[in-house]
Amino acid sequence: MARRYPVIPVLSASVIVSIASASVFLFLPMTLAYATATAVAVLGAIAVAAVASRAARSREHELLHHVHRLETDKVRAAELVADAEKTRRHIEMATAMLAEGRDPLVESPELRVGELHDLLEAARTTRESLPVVNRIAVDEAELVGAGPDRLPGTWPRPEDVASDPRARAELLRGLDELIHGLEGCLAPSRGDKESAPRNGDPSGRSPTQLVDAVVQTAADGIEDLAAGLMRASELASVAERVTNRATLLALNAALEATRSGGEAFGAIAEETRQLAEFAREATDTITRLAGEIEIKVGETITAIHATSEDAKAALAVAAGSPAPRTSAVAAEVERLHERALELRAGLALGASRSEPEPPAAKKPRDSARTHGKG
Amino acid sequence: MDTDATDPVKTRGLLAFRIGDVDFGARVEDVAGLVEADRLAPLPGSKGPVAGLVAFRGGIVIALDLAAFLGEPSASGPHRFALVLARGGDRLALVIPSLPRLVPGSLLSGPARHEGADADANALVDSVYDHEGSPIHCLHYWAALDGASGRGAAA
Repeated sequence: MARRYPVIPVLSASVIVSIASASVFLFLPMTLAYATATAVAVLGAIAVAAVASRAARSREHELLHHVHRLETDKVRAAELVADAEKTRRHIEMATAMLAEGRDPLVESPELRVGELHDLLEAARTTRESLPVVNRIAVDEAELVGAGPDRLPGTWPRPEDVASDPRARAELLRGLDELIHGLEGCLAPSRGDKESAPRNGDPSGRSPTQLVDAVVQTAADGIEDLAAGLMRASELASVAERVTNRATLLALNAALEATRSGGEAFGAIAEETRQLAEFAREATDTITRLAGEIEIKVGETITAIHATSEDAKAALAVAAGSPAPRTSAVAAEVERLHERALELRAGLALGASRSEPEPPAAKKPRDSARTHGKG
Repeated sequence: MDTDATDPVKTRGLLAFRIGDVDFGARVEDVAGLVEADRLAPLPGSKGPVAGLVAFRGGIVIALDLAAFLGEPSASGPHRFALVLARGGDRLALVIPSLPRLVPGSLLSGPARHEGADADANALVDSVYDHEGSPIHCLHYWAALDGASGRGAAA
């Protein structure tokens, strides 16, 4: 019997099985890892998609909100445009009325409300109170340099000034006050003794006199002190004389005790010696101190007199030549004063051309002439 | 300088004063008293060291300007004093420029006889006491008065 062993198929099957087993053992971990990674990726994608979806919904909500606000703003803008158009028409109407010399507030009831009403009311008040100043001067040099015969174009016309005596009087009064204030500022630099400030001194003394008085008072006080010290020196001399006599008496007593042979001679002699030394030291100290104080007082008196002379000299120099800044300010004030005078003269001349001034305006005009002469 | 205990006289104390740079003294046993000498009555015809007369306890005493006698600048000014010496019933005033100080005998050492190169000085100095290292010279003041009177008479 032929042994037919299926060697080849068995081997083949074994190989296949081996390969399959090896494949299973080799690729199973890879397969598991792949599956895990795939699951993680899927889960991550799902999470990202969820977050993105939520953000998209939030963004959508914001966009809707903005759209709503834009619609609201559109409505309000339309209202504002309508209001602006209405205001524009009112302004054009008011301007046309003003150009024609009519009062918008009287003829147009619709202009009596709103902000335009306040504006028109303010304009009417201004126009009624200051009808002259309907054009404002913008250049001071133009005003001042023009002179009374050739008024600048921006200056109120004489007929305008003459048309309202109250406004003219107000202007002249204001100019007079300005001129008066400038003259008050210029009085010290001009040497005006009557109107110059007294620097707070009720007695009316000048700074030089004040300094002199203060220094003189101090010098008098120190000289009195010096006189007292001299008397103290005399007292020291008297004290020395008394001390000498006391010591002399003690010495004589000691001599008598010595002749009598008393045992107390030593004690008396010692006490006498101590008394003499004490009195001598005290007297010397007093004399020395008095001398030193006299010297110091003398030096102080000399210094005070020198300071007084220096202060008076400095004040004299200051009075004769003011400081640069002070003189510059004075020059500027002087220039303003002159311009104010010219301005007032021009205003008064323009008023006199139109009509006679009311009695209330004569006084400032006369004052202006007086200032102009000065 | 030799010490001779028999000739110089021990004393209970000295009235010491300074003229120039030298300390002089008078024994308290020889001193009758001290007075101020700011007012001296001038003695007519007197010259040199005789300063004048000074009143002392109801009497008048001749005053000798010791500084002038020793050739030093004479004491002047209001604060002068007269040290009145007594010898029996006689009185002699020495005008000194300042108050003397009383030096007890217990603080003195000596006396010693002064023996120097100058014979006149040796004759004038009676004795020398030592007080704390400084010599105090006691003079023959009565002899000085005699000399001054002789010189004044000669002048």
